[in-house]
Amino acid sequence: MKKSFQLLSYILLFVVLGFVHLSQGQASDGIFSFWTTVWEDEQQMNFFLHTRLPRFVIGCLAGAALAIAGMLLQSMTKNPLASASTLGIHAGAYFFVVFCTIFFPSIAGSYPIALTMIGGIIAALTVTFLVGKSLDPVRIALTGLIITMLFSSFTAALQLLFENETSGLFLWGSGTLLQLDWSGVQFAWPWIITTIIIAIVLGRRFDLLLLGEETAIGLGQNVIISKILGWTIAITLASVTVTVVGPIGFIGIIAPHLVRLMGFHLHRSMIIANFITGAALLIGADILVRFVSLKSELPVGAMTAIIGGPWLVYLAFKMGRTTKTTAGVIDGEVRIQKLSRFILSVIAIVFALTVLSLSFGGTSFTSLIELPQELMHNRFVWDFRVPRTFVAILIGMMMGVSGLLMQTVLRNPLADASVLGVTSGASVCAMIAILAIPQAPHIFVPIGALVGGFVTMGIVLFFSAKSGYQPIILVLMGVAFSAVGSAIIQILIVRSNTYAGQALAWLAGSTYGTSWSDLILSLLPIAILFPIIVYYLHTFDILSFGDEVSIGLGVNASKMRLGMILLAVTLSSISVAIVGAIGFIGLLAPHIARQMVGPKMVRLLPATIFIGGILLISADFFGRFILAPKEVPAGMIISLIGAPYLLYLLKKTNQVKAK
Amino acid sequence: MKKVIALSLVLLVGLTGCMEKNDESSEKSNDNENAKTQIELEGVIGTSSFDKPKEKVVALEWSIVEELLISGVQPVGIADIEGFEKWVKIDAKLDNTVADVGNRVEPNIEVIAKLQPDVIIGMKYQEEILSELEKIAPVVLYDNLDPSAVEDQYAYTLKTLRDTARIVGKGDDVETEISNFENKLNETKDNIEQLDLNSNEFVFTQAYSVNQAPTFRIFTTNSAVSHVLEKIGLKNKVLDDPQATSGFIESNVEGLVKYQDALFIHTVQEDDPLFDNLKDNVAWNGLQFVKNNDIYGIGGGVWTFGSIYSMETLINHVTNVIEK
Repeated sequence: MKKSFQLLSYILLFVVLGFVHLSQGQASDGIFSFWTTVWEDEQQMNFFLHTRLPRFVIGCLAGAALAIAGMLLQSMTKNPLASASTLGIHAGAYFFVVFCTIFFPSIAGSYPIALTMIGGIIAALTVTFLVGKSLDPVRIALTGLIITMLFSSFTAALQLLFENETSGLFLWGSGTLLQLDWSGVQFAWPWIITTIIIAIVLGRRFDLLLLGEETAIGLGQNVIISKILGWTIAITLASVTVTVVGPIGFIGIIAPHLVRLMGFHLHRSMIIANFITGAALLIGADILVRFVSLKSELPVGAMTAIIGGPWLVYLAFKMGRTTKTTAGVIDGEVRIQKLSRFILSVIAIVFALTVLSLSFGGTSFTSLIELPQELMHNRFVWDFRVPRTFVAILIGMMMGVSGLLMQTVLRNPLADASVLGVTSGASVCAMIAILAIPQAPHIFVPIGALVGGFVTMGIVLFFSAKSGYQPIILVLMGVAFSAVGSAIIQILIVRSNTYAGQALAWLAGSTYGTSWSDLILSLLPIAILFPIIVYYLHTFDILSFGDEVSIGLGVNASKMRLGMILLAVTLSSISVAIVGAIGFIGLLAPHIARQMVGPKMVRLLPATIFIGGILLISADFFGRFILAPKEVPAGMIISLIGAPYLLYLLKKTNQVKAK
Repeated sequence: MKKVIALSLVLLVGLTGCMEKNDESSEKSNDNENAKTQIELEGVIGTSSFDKPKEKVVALEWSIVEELLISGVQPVGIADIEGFEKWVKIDAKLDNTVADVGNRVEPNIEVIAKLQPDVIIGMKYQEEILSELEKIAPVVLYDNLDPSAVEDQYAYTLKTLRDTARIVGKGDDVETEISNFENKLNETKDNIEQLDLNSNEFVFTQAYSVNQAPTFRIFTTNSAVSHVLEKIGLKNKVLDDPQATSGFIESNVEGLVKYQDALFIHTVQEDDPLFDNLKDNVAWNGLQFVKNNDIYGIGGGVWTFGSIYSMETLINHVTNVIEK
């Protein structure tokens, strides 16, 4: 009884939302006057029938499709956090479309749905392949997140290098319900409706699946077929939606959750309830988006992220009460026994790279013999090349150490400033300084980054405090805040596309234009913070064994953890302030180091420091070298090198888990 | 075309010769030797005073490249040559000796340094690297976001043109260019007055497709484009937001209703299927200017943020389509 009452009120709410939504438009003058004049005014009627109604219908279809896809994915993975966006399907589909728009524009024009399908399937397959048999919910969510990160950085790289070709994709890339006429609806409805009907027909199968695989097999069901069916339906729904309205996240998480809260548990009724809830949510978000700005179209996907982010925090918060720490000791291999010799050779590599980098100026190399002279006598080399080279090394070191600290404290091999949302928060504040107040002096950019980084960290820590800074909760909070952060960034970019190029370059992260003062700025934290870290090295080692062990050995785990996070955030915020949002180094450097010298901090720290330095200086060099005199941001190079390695890493850590 | 340029150059030299004489006589009467060579710039970021004209210039924004070409000076280096040639179609050519110094957003500082310029000219958004650039040569950045610049972007275009020209010692040459341009505007105005247009109000838009739906950048009254079109006797129908810093606001098909009684002048990149998509669109076909066939496409390649040569390209294209 209560269920149907709730559903009824949802339907009512949906109707009200429909009336409001249809009345919105650039030529409309308010809800009431629109509905009274539309019947007499032929032009208003035209707009109503041919631009607003399609927008409304596509919104309902997309919302419903996303909600049902999310619900099915959650059933398939038994994970309340699964959805087309968290599993990387959206990012994969979007990347494929951008890629083909640039390189095969004719294909992109004629077979859009095939492209998004391929992209979505590739992303989903990668995630399932990487997760393997261990169906740990958090691991699935994290893997999906990393896949999303990978595809997004590829997409960003393409967008930066082909700015003019892809400028039209910006708005679509964050999801928009903007429709020209009925063609979008005509294209999408047969797919979506047919797929949903199939899902309803197959509903019983999925119910059995939820009872557990053994039970399902016992009842005579072929579990594999059921799963393949479920995934196919979900991916089809998600891809069709991406094709017509772009990647819109979070509907697939919120709607199924609401439906479960209403008390629906059988798939057939859940699908119908999700249809209404999903549609209502997306229409509601679209109303809000156009309420904020009628003139220039803002992405509705950003709005769903702003609503959905806090929702994810809430979900994480709830999970925090039930889940206990599942992350374990991060292992590595001791491949190199003689540490001192290893460190020496790494330092030699750093030195060689420094010389190489110093000898390349703009378009040509200086020979080794002339180099010392040029360094001494050519003021420009001294003023531009020298600080830039050393800033790259130092920042690389800072990022590496920051990542190492976060991974140790979270006991999570995939932790990093970007995972915790710190980079995102820092970027938002810096972007506001660049885009929203273009008149502001440039000193506000780094200051904004610092403030943003610390505020985000503060919020994340505040919300996870109750759970005793549980690693999983922290990561989920971070993910949620990153999503909100990138939504705000997308809104800012769409709103001020005259300066998008500059903002994009900054977002990708770049060692461009660093000076002696930046060098001093990056030396300071190293001089102050690195000794502190060295002093506490042994305590950190203990902490990596888990709370129980640490407390047993007399270490105040919570306090230590807080301290380490503070150190890590300071390091990464300062590096964001100097070079922008360069990702991946915090993930990569500690991992490479761990594979070589093993998990002991005393050995790990020096190795991480130098490997971090090597990574960023090589990225900086290649960025200057490849397209000279044009510069490719170092952050982009890093993500292009880092992505394949990270995939390998994911597979490896998950294999270990499965054993 | 080359002949025309050569001819106009000869004319220019002649004209400036006369003008210089005038200047000299007037300055002698002022008895101020310094004022002749001292160059003072107002409202710029960076260096605002030069004691003598500069020869080797690096230009970091396309409009400045155009200003140099108008002054008859080839820059030693510019940012993004490829983009300049693609987007800025004007009646002047870059020498192939001009060096590319990388992108406009992150120009390659070392390449600039190697060119050993006497002065670097850029825009406000490059302020981040001002201190770096100043180590190479004096830097002038035009503050296009200053409220007075935003208020009348045409006046600001002329101001920066004059400034650039004065920096390279061609202040007088450029005055003739400007008066030529203004004569041309007046001529065009006379021609247009004789035409029997459905309306003398216009809406100028640069349009592109997003998600197959068209987005229209509608130029507001403060934009340079709008000022130029008003000077040839047309009237901008777009009266909202006259302080838009970019000089335009955005709109979709529905938003065009407000301006449907005007002439619809648009520039759209050639490969954009925008109007094909709109062909059968009921809402679009219901707009007044579509019904009256008052749509004037001036093609791509008109750099709406350029200097007077770009504006000349603009009015040439506009008169071509309107007179038909």
